Amino acid sequence: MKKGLLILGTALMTTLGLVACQQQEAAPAGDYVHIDIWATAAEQQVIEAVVNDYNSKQTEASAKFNYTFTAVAESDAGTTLAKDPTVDGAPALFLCADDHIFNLQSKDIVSELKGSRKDKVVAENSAVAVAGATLDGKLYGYPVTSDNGYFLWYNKGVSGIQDKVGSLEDLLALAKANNKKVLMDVANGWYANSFIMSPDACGVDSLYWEKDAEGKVKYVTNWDNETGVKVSEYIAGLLTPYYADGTLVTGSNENISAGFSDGSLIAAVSGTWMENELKPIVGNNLAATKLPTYKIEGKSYQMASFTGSKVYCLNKTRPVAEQKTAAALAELLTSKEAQLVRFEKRQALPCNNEAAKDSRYTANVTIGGAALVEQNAYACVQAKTAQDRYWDIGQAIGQAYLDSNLAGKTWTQFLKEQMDTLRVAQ
Amino acid sequence: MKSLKASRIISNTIIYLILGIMSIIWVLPIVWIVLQSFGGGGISVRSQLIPETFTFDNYLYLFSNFTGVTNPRASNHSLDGYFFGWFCNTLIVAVLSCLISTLFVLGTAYALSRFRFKARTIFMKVNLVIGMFPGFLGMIIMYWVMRDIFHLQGNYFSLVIIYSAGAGGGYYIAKGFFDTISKNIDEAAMIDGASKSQIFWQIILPLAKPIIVYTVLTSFMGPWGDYVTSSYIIGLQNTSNWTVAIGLYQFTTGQDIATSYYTQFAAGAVVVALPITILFFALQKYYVSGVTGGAVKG
Repeated sequence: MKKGLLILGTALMTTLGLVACQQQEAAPAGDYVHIDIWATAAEQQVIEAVVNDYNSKQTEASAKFNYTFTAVAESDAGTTLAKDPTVDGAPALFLCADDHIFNLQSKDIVSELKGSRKDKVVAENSAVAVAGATLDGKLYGYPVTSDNGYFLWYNKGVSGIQDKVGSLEDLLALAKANNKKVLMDVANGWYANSFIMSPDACGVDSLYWEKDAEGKVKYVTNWDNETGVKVSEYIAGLLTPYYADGTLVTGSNENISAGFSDGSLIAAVSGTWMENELKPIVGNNLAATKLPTYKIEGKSYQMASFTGSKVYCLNKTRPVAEQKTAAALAELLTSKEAQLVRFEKRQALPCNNEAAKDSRYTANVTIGGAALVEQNAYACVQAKTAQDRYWDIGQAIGQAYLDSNLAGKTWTQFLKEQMDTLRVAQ
Repeated sequence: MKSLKASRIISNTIIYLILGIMSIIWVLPIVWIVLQSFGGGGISVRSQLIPETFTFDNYLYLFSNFTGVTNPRASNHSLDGYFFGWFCNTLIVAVLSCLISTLFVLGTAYALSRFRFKARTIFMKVNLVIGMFPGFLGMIIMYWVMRDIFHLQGNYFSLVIIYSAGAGGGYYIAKGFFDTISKNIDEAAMIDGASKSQIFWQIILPLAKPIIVYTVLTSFMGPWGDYVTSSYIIGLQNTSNWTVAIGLYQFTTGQDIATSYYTQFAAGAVVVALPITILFFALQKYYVSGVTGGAVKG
């Protein structure tokens, strides 16, 4: 009897022990190690808030995140790491612009996300943001925000402008009638694509690059088809007279702030980065909306735009334990809650689908932020569309829109010649 | 006679006109940057020369860790409070490399001017050929040497090593100057029992003031304004170790920095120009005789 009890007791203890073990294994807390993070300075407060909140809920020390933060701008992190990914204090986790991923991936510096990690990112984030972090169907990072795009800023104090900002023809005619100006840097590849890539014309997927078997980059494009030629002929015919008489001007950020401050500009195509500069200048009359449409033979064409995202990437040259910690931390930092904290603290537009629907975001979105989200529906991902060789071509096309000078060629010949240059694998 | 006078007046007028236009072209950017550095109000980058409101805040911003002044226009404050540190880093680098490279240059020049030793001419020829390669060809190897051998990557003391280590190669002008100092003086000192080192320190150097000033000035200015070397050695991730060149460059780049920090950048540019300007004014009269002195053959 005693022996029986003993066996029963032992069996019970063992089972309980196993169960306990199983429970312990199932616990989410991982063995996190100390990691370095590089991100833009404004991101530090977000990381602190999110991680402190998370850590305060953990009891095990090994389940808490422990990191050193270094301020490196998103535009610099990719280039700095591409030069030397093993530099002193090299991060396991870094925030970079999505157009750096191509370079980092070709140098084998950034880790691919696979399996459930990838599925989660794809399911939770906007398609445009995921596309920015994807290369050849492989995902290389956790999208943080899609905030690098352009749309139309305008001064709503100009009488009648509210009805005109929807149409490019009307807007330019209004500016001319009031002896004012509209700024769009058409002779710049970053803006020149806007007309031809319209979803109603060649489409936002009408230009992209891919690598062939030898690793050379070649572009796939149909800008020289019938639609492309038709749109280009119309746009050149529309813009050239306005550019010649000074109604349409080109320029950069400083020309925009100067133009709005002396009252000569009524509208300008630019991005969210102008908001803080323009607010004190234009005051309550500052407004923004998606880009206008243009009309050919009675059909409306919505102008397209480029967009870019910021992405958390994992440094492949760091030890596996650090990368695992970095992946868990990146997941936390791009969750719905973290994206809302980021929006509150630094006005970064969320790309997490749930966060974008949350009232904490929708009730407080900035002027430029709302316009950008509106425009993003007609945007193509710049990182996938345009690399080094595109910019000169884009500039040439944009310049031709402004001065209609094709050196004696027709638009069909001109576009074919430009596109053939892009189609060559290099 | 009269026509000679008339033609002189005409030619002088033309020359002064050209000089006047050229001086305006040269001075205008400096006037522009100085005026912008006092620009106040809501906007950062403006198209008019004279700002509508004047303020000293841009200068106070540079020293915001003491003054607490920030940029009201900015949404991105990531560079606040760093400028004074960058200025000190640059000063340390420039002063140290200036001292060390001046010693190297004068020592090399003296040795090559006064001593005759084996391979002296070969050394000078090899140095001439090496000098024809631009310095940035060594960029990558310099980076790895500093990183893996000295473990000084990211540290501004590595800049002192880089700037001063190769300085001896630029001995030409100093050697030319030493060549003009008569050897009889050396011989007289030698008869009185002076060693080579005593001759250098006590006889030649006091006679070579213009060339010392020239060497000091050039070896101070190089490190003071250099961007390329400092940016790749220090790296953009080590903000507090930057030199002013990297810092000011960062004021004018970056998505949400460039649009709102232009007047601060202008103030920084003026502050950076001050030490060099003061140094130049103080040493101007020596400088001219230093530059031309080396060219005189005696």
